[in-house]
This record gives sequence, structure tokens and C-alpha cells, in this order.
Amino acid sequence: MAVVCIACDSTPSSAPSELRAAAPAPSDLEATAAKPSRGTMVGGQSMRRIVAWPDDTQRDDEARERLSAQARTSVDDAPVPVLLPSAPDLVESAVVTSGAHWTAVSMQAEGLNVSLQISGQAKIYPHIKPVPATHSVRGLDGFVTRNEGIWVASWIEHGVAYDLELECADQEAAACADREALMNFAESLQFVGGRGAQR
Amino acid sequence: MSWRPVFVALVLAPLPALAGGLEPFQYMPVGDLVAGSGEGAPDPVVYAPGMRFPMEGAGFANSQVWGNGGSQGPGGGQCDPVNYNYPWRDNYCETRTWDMPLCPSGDGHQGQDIRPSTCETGVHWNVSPADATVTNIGSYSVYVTDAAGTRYDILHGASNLVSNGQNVARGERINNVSNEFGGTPTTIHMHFNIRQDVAGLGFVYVSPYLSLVAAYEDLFGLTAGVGTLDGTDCMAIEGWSWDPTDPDAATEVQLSFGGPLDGTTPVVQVTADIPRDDLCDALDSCDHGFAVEAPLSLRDGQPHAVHAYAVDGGRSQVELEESPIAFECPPPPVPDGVRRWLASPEIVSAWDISPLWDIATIDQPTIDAIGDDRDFPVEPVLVVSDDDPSTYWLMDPGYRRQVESAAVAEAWGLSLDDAAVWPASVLADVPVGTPVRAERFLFSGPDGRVYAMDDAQCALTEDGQLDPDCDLDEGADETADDGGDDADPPGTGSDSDGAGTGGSAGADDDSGGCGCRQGAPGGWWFAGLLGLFVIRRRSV
Repeated sequence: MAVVCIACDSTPSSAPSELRAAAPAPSDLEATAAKPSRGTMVGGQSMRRIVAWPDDTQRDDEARERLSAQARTSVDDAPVPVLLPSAPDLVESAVVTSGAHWTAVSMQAEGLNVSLQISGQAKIYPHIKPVPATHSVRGLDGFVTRNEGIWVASWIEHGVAYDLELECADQEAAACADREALMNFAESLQFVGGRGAQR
Repeated sequence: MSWRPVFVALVLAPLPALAGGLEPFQYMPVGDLVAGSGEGAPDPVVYAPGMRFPMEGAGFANSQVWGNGGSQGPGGGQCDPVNYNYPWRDNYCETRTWDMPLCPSGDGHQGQDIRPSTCETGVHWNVSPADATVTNIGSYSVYVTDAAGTRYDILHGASNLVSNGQNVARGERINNVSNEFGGTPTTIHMHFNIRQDVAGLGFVYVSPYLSLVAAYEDLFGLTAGVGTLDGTDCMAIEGWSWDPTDPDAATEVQLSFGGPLDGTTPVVQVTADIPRDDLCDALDSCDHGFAVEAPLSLRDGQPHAVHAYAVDGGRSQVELEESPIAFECPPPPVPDGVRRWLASPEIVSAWDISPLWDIATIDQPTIDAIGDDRDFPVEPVLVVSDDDPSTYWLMDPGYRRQVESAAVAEAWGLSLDDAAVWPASVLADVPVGTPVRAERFLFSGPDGRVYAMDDAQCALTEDGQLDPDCDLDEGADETADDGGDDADPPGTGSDSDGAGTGGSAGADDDSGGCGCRQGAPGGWWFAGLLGLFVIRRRSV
């Protein structure tokens, strides 16, 4: 089987490795006939975000108590500050999962699906530089978009990155009617815990 | 920046039944959208290396809206054979009204549409692109997130086989390809997103197209070449790679540090084109060697595995013989100075710092023993005054610090061409700090905090001026008294061994020894900000 890219006859724009500035080199490194290359990065480089944990007084214990026991344990072990809405039916449905540096919360109630993704580790791509925010989310710089009918807000708070998504089984439902519904929902989120929270 | 995608035609291993009569696999360049459907992003980056193609069988990536049967298409129906054939076509950033920071127009389609192998709903399977956790299931969406935090969105599926919180293996069935869309009609397809936390943006949809191309080639067992990962020392990781179907061409090699290619490891790609005598006889072609620098961040006295893969023009990978190998290198010497925290990935990105190549890994006790100082500036601000265009200053909140040569600027990733021009009267009010070090030394420890080693500066008075008791010479004397045998002033960093010395003056923060000159009194920093209004780009 052959693989052909149509009209692909150019070369990559990436800077040749020899154009990059040399790193501080340990003294044991000597020049070689063929200087070792740094090549180009593929898939970005990861860097941890440093969490600024909210203090205990900011914790919404009422919402936390509404979580199932399993979800509450997962929140308490989350590597990032977890925010939740106040709506009881949503909170009671929450499924909380975490990786080493991220946490996700999935909630459903009455045709509304809420997804929260929280990241404590960013990817760095040399070609992507900071982009001015397009919206204020929770009073912070953020972005708002709509993906296949799903309302999406993203922002950075407590030193980590948040992603909030509202998906309605019926796209005409009030909860997905407009951007304002999303922004109000984002505003309602309260800190409920995480492994670095003061107790 | 200008984007120029790279592809070559390749002859690859025969594809069994899946491709049927549809060979060869063909795809249009990344960013090349259907005419009239908007401006694509010709982004050459594979954002999810090692990803699996998210359908169990063959698929056809192309536009739904601008394809046959689409509302903006040329007519026909969604099942028109032209929709179920190659070439693939990118539709990330296709015209939409929704914000998309990485699209050239600032808005557009967030992902890639993919039709299954036939125009049938409920027959074909969407599968997990990675070993991952199901992190959300909506009415027409399933999100799975891998260990590194990359989220893959699979939309418009039906008959879910997975549940929230479930771990799924790479290639495990998720649901059927369908046309679910919250009560809104759509075609039979999967809408596929890759969502990542990217420094400078936070969560953002990145281009999935080339990740899909690579995954598709990988799924169908395409061969890229042969070769060997020979070995490594602390100078270089070396080996060779060769494509027997194109014996004189230079192949590409990817090195994955810390584990196999699975989307969670740093990956470097190099061209295997170094002449090697030992290959000439064996291959009848000599220029197929590669040598990659051992990354600074992995020179920490611990063993690190490196996997090497031959990569074809479309980015399919074949692991080289003897891969993986391990290397273990001592950490670099730590120069004197004070540590300044780079508080976020956004700051690291703004300074064009590579975590892999530029940040040394140091144990916590060593870090704790280094004096803590002000946070590092959030971004580089390089200026010249309008009466002296040849003297460059790095604005370090509270101070201006001279960049003494082009070499120093290069070491810090500063572009002299981008220096802003400030009124001399404004710049003169800014206290002068120590010169910018000749070499930058960045380091991190177990807690992930990244620091730059720097020189302490004179304390500022309440009106923003230097403490009049601050004395450069006294600091330099203290350096000499401390046993330093370097005649250079602190902070000049002129050491030739790359370790640097600068900054012992004031290393204990308020010691008073520093390299400073008093500027004129006044609210210089506010005036400096006003000066930004007259900034203009400087051409050299």
C-alpha cells in the first residue's frame, strides 16, 4: 500500500537544530565530528503547573457533602483544586476521576451533561505563544467556544487550567441556550477540595 | 510564522483487507481545506504521537458540511462514493462562528470529521486512541483522557460500551459510529477532537489532522525503515536508520525519552544523515547515522530509557534494533547565585525555554540551599533608548539590566531585532542592575518548580530607587574573599566552562553587595509603562 500526500512537495518550517542556541553544556562534553543534534520536538513538552491551593475557608462543605462517598474520596485525593456547581442533582451524580496531574468530573441531570476537566500540567509548544483571552470567565481571562453544540469555557485559576462544558440532550434546552447560561454556570462553581487543601 | 507541511510519497507494505480497493492511502496537506470552507491551520505538529486511529477499521477524514450531501456541498448525498474515498482532507478550522484561538481566523471547527468505511450507522466501531480513562459521557459525546492529560473527544457515537470512570485500553471499543447530535440531524461520522492544556492558552483544541495521519499509517502496519540504536554516553545518543526502499534517502528518527511512544513522553525527531564509514559497505550508502544530545533535564544521575524509531514521511514508526537503551549522566555543575521562580508554564513558554533541553534537574536540598529571590519576569522586555540604539537593556521589574552582547541575547532567547525603543528620559529613571548573565542556567527539582539562577540586585527604596548603601565593589570584594578566583565582576558570567559564577554578591539577598548604579529619582516604572505607548519595532 502506498501513502501519498497530494501536493505535498515542501519541507518543514521547523528551524534546523543547528540554529538553536546551545544549552549550558557540562564540562565533560567535548566537540565531536558530528555535533549531536537537538532535532525538533514532537508532541510538545510537559511542565507542571504549581497549584495555589485555596484555603479551607473557601471550601463549600455543603456541596462536598452531597457527593457520593466514592466521589468525595476522589475529590479529596485530587491533585488539583476541584470546583463543583451548587445544583444538588448534578453534584449527587458526579463521577470524579484523576490522573497524576489532572482531575475530571462528569455530572448529569435532566438532559444536561456537565464536564469539568482540570489540569495541573501544561504542554509547551515553541510555536504557540500566549494568546489574548477573548472572554472573562469567573472574572479571569478565558476562552469560550461551542463545539458541536457543546458550550465550552476555559480559564486558569488557582494556578491550574479549567475546562467546563455543558452538553444538552436537546440542543434547544434552556441550559444550552446561550453563552450567558454557560457563564452563569461557571460563576456558580465553588471549591470543594483536593489533596493540597488545608483542613 | 509560516507553515510548510512536509510529506513524501512512500511505498509501503501491502495493506490487507481493510483498505480493499482503496489503495493507495492519500491525504491532502494539513491546513488544506475544501475551497471556500475557510482558512485552515497548516500546523506541522503531531500533537498526539503514538495515538491509535480512533476507528477500528478504515475511515475517511473529510468535511461533512462542504462534502457531498452537506449543506454547503456540491450536491448529492452523504453516501456518495466520493465521500468514502481518499484523499483525506483536513477540516480543522473550517468555517464556524465559534472562537478557536489556534485557527488563523480566530474561529472555526474544533476537530476533524471522519466517516467510517461504509455509509452505515451502528455498524462500525469507534475505539479509544490511547490507554485512557473515560472522563465524560454526554448524550452524543464520549471523552477519554490519557495519563498525560490529553483528552480525546469522540462525538456522534451511539450504543456506548463504556461507562464514566472506566479505564480503557488503546484500541478498545467505545461505541458505534453514528449520527447522534442532540436532536439535530447530521451525517454518519465521528467528530474527533484533541484537547490539551497548552501553555499560554490553557485548555485548547489542537489540530488533530497529522496525529490521525500518523495513527492511520501505524494502524495499517506501514514500514518505515530499519536501523539500530547503537548506544549512548553523556555526549550523544547515537544510531543509524535506513529505508531499503529508498536506500540513498535520509530517514527520520524519533527518540522517546522515558518510555515507548504513547503520547506521554517527550519525543525528539532528527534526520539520520550523518556519514558513517561502517555503513558504507553494509548498506552501500553512508549517510544514515544520527546523534542526539543527551537532554539536560535527564542528566540527573538517574538511569533514563530512550526508545528510537524509524519514521517515514507520514510519521509511521518502526522501533530500531537494540531499542530501548538507558543512559545515566551526572548532573551539571550548579553556578552560584540566587534562584528566581518562573511561576507558570506560560512564563517558561514566553521565554522560549525548553523543559527538556534547557532545565537541569537538581535535588531539593541543593535547591533549598540556594537563596530565594524575586519571581522571574513574566516575559522578556528588551529595550533601547532613543539616544543610544546600540545599548540593549532587559527590563527586570525594578531594574534595567544590560545585555552586553549578541551572544548574551542569544543565550537568553532574546531577539535584538525586537527591542522596543523607549525615550531616553524614561529609561534613565530606571535603576541599573547587574548585567544579564552571559549564560542562562535554569533548574527544577522534585516539586516541579522551575527557577533561573541569577544575581541578587540592590534593594530598592520606597520611591523605586536603589538603596544608596548598595556597593558593587564591596560585593565583588566579598566574592574574592569567599575564595572565588574569577576576576570577572559578579553576574558577568564570563566563565568559559559553562557553569557560570556570577552573583555570589548578594546571594544572601539583603547583603548589600551588588552591581548597581543609581538612576535618577522618580517613578521610573510607571514612566516606563507610559513609554510603552511610544514603543515601536526596531529594525536592524
